[in-house]
Amino acid sequence: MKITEIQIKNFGMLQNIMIHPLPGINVIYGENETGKSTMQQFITGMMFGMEPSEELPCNKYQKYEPWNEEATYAGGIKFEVAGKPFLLERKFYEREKSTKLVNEEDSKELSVECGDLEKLFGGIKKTAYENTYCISQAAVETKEEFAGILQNYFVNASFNSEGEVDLLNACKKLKHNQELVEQRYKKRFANRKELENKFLMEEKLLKKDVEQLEKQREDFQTMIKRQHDFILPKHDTNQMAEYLRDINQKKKQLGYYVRFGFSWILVFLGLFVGVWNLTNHHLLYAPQTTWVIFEVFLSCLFLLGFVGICYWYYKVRKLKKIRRQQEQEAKEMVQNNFKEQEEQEIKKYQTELAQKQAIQEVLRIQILEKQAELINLHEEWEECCKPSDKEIKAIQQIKAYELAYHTLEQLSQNIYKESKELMEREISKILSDLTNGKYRKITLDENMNLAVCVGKNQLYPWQLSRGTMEQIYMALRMGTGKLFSREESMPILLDEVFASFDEKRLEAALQWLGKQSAQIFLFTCQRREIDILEQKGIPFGKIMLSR
Amino acid sequence: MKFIHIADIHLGVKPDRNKPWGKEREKHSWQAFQEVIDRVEEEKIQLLLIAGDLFHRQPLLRELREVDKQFSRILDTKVVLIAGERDYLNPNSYYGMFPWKENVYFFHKEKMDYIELENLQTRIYGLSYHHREIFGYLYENIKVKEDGYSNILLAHGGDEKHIPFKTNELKKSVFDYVAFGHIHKPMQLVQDKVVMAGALQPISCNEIGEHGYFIGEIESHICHVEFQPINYCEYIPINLKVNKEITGEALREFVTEQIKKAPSYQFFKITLTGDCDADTSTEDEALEQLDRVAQVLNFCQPDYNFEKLKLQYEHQVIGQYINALEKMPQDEITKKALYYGVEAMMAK
Repeated sequence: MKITEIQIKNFGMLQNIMIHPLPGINVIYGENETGKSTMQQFITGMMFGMEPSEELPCNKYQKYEPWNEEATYAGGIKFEVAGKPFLLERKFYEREKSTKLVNEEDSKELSVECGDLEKLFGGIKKTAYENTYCISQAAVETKEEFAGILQNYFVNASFNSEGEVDLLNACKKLKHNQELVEQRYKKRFANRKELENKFLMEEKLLKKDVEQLEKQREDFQTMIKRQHDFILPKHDTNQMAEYLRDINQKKKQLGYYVRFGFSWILVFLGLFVGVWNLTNHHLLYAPQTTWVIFEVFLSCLFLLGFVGICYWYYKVRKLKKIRRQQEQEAKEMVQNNFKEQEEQEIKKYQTELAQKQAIQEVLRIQILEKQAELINLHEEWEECCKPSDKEIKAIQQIKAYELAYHTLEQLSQNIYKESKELMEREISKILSDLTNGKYRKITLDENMNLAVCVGKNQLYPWQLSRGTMEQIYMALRMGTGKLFSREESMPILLDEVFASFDEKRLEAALQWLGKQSAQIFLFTCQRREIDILEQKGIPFGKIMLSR
Repeated sequence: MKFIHIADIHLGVKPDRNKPWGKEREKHSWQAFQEVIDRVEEEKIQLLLIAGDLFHRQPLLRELREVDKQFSRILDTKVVLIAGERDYLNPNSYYGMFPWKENVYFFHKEKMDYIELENLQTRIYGLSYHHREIFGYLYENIKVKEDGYSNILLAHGGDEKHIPFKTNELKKSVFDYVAFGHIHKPMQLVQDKVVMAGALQPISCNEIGEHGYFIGEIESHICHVEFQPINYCEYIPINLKVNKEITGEALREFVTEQIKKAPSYQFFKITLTGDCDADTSTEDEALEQLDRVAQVLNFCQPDYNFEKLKLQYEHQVIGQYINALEKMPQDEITKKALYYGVEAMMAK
């Protein structure tokens, strides 16, 4: 592809510009802020379009949008592919965005949406182009995505465009699908686990119930046993009262005996003293009347004693009789009570036994019921532990996705190894040209990092001087760019790439560029490129930009 | 003598548990059982044979009482039942001790036993499961009394873990009728002689087709039975061949239409086959959300001709990928991985 005409209506600081570049080297010279980078952006924007959404917040669309005349935010390029002229016009203004591609030979309009433009460019993608042939100011190194692009490229390097496979996307798709299945699987799995835990909890509770019921039954049984062992004889009579009554009666009896004895003493005393006094001994030397009165007193004493004896004897007899009666009564009562009690006891025991048996039976049935529930619950739990058919299928799917992914990765690794050498040779050759043979061999490691072989050592770009590093990246970009644009050579856009090159390096770079068949746009703010090109007699076109 | 032969009633089963109609389905086993009892009552059937798995799990007391209540409606009918592998007689369960009504005969032993029903001039042989699995051929070489009585074998099993049997052996046996349970698909293994009753109602969506019981008559050693379907639930398979042109929406619409036309007791099991992206699980899920769709199986696969692809991309990554996977031991996973990988690479 060779650009034959650049028409800028309004793009950033550039307005109404028409340029006719040469097929070979074109040096676009201008001081700072004359719009060199803008022009480079214009050319890539023309070729691959410019989306307002890209690279937010500071996107290119906004950067080059004119301040007042949005409607003229547009331009066009004319170019030739395989000798055929084409006109590509674009309006960038987002409300009137349009792209028009015309084959100027027959004035037929082609469809950009259907990929006609991409076909004309030989299939190169925007990212690939921006990582190789289009070097912006201060962006010498390639972006991270470049490693993936390279790998993709290697995998497809040996294919024709029909069998081209976007390996990165394929892997991404596999991973994405795998994640979808995994998400669904995890949800199912979590639901099942939750149910499983619920069953386990219920089982635990049920087991506790069964234990409790069994304990209840045990307690009940021991309780019944204890009751049998300790049946105490019961009495209706009040023992204490009886006892107290007994003591009282005994006391009373003793009192009666004492009084009975005292009465005897009175009788003897009266009799003896009276007789003794009567017979011959006059106890008292007193007149007759006093003596008589004394005798009468003694007789009275005797009589009183006699009456006392009779009375107290009678009293004792009576008390004895009462006590005998009481004893008899008590005895009878105890006997009677015991019999009745025994009968009642047996009756009560029988009804109690029936009740207890009923309770025991209820407990037994309850325990059996709970145990049956436990068996069922355990069964349900076991069934729940088995992964469902859908889960099994999901696991299979996940494994299949993993297998597909790893196989693809392995294959691409193998292919990469094969194509790597080819790539290394290409880049090494360019680097050797650029450095006049100082660095001859370059290698790519598995992460697509470049390393230079110096003797036996491997040096990474950051271990070298800025100038050398830029030479290495230049070699990488040009080498890979060449491979990407194998079908259609694309223009090389170099924006201030040689700023940190010394004269010698610059000379080598320009000489290498001079040998290339691709169209080259060299943006610079220094005159030395022009000087060297003139000195070496390399043909070039000169485009001067001014403020 | 008229009799009804049922099996695998699975009282207490909860099919389609995760579906909106799951609660409704829980009732079906009971409703179907009641319907059988109704018929026994109405037609004065003399013998009801229950060939195992009356309950889905160990029966609870209230379930036993409910069943006994049903049996008490048909006191003139002899009910003979055995425990199957699902409701096997667990020593920790009340099942074996339950005091049934006097018209109910329950086989307690796990050894071949028989009962004589004098007024029916019938002898019934059978045994109950005490374990979840019985591997022995317990239904062969049974000593049967031959004295004019009708001899019936009430049996449960038929796969290798549950009393396996050879149909031929039973065909040769002197039984007048062999009433089987366990396999849920109703079938006459030997016409009018060895009959698998099938589940009274399906207990999972894999049990497609009609379900019900067998009603028959034995008269002087000649038996004849007929299948009688019960329609509380029936699973209908819908096999759909799809391709890339059929959108998910169109598919859903079609299925919805089909379902609308079907009687309300029917539920559907959809199988998708044909040429489609290997991963249309989101589509399955949308279909599964439809009313009365019990299950969706997706066997869709992109219609790749791997031999042709291999030739076409012989030296390229697709060809190499197919070759690499075909060299691996072939199982479900490698088969799927082959489709997934090729599909991902062919995607534009």
